[in-house]
Amino acid sequence: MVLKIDMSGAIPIYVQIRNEIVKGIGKGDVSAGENLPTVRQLASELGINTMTVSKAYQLLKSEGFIETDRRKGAVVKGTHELKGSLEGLYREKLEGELELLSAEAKLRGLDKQEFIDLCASAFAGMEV
Amino acid sequence: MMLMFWIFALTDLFVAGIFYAVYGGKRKYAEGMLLGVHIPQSAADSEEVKVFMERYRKNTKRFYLWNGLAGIVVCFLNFWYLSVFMIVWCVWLVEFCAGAVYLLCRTHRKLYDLKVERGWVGSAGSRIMAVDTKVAAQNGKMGLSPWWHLLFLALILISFLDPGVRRYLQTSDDGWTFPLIGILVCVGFGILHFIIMRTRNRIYSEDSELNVAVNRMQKTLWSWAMVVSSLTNAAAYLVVASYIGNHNWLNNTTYAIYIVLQTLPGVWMIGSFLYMRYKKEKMLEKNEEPLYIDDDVYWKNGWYYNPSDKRFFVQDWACSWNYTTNMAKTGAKIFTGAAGVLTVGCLIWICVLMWKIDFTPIELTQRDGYVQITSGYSDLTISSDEIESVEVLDSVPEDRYNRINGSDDSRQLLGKFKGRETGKCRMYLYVGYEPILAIQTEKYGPVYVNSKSPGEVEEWCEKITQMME
Repeated sequence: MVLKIDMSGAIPIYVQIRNEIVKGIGKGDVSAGENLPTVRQLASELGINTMTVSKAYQLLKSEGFIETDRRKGAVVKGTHELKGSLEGLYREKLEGELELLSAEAKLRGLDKQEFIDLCASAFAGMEV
Repeated sequence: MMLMFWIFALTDLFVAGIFYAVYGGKRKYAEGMLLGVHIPQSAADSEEVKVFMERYRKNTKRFYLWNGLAGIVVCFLNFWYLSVFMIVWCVWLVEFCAGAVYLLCRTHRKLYDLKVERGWVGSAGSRIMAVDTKVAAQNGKMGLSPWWHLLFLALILISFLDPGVRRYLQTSDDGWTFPLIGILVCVGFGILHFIIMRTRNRIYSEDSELNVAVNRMQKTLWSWAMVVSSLTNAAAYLVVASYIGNHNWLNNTTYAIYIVLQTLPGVWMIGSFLYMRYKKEKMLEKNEEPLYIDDDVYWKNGWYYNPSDKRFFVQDWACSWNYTTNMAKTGAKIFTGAAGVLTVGCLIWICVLMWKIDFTPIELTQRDGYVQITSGYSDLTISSDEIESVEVLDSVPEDRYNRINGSDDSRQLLGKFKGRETGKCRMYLYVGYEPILAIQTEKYGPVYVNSKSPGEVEEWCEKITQMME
């Protein structure tokens, strides 16, 4: 999986790392049980502080996407473990984000069908 | 002199050839780049860029041709005064290196400006960094470990257990040179190996397997190049140590073996690099999803300037086996400035030293119970108590002399020497002039001095004899 991070973007780097890894898991670029680079390795490759990577990994761990092991480092968790967590907080978060995206799309002139097609296309890209 | 001429002429051609291969020959569109600037293939094939590159090709050809010729012409000065030759040669070297880099960087900047002007891809100043998680996760498992160098260091250090080697190191003025070179080169290769292993991996494709394969191949080859170079360095020293341990002397054959073994790393490195380049090209031919990360905005002036990158050393855009500093860091500016000042300072120092050797006369003065010998290399003061005897000779005693320091050319012999049979001595001699004054001392061994003025040596001998009485 290739992570692309915009070093001058408005989104904090640790959030970008988190998002890229989640997208990678969703698309099947990284499979369950696969090792991610250690905090030190990833920080060295990106030329950033280890604390930034550590923060991204902690976020991913708290959201249940990865687990950390003293010997193996960061490992991608199986998707079946995530499937039960759709209800509750996550659903609220998803609805909130979709509402924002819909508002922006509508303001920029996208019609409902175009928006749904885009969503469907993005969703179809997720192979897991 | 003829040998010196050929050594420098071939070195100059070699330097010019390497510079041309590294900096002068980057004219092909590869990995989404032309001259280190990311542009689309269509832009690289456009008439405007073709004309631009043709102009660059002509300038490059002219620059390397004239400088290559100048590099040979300056070597003829070696037949006159060595110091004059060294000064002109240093000026040539600095002009050539600076000119080659300036020519490349100026053209690179012009192409970057053209890219921005035309609005080609990435011209908005992309600041994207990419990393392949699969490659990064396997980083520690690629190539040989740098700890191998400790084994070779131990091999060098173990030679000190030999009493013969220890005796030579204690009694010879130049004894420490070989182990010191051996240790420094071994440690140097070890550090370089460590840095290369920790260097950021390059991403060539969306295909992680291909990225892993190319980076693994490169790191494996580099690590082997470092380990084999370190091994030949240790072997070179051990050959010398074994000979001096047994004979307390170094013969020319051992010197020759040492030089050959110390040259092998260079040949091995160049061979590895060429093979690596060939292999990489072959592997990337299969790249169906190329991925180009446009970081031109950080390289637009020819050097790397990225305040958000915390790395100090980064891979150079012009030569992938070279490393450059991130000039956004204060430390990098200081490091680069200091390296430049040190290099120029060393060149000036060598030139001044050689000028003094060529143009300072050998003189002997005697006053207040001391004999002082001055020359272009070093001075020597001997008190009358230290002088055991003084005599005038027709020539220095028959022996095979090795120079330990100073100068040894067709005009003068200056500094410390060591005769195979007669042991250490000092020489302050004009070649081809007789007689020679031999001052016998316990501290320095025999000190040989002569003069270009007829009768002066006999006069010195008489005065020193009187002083001793």
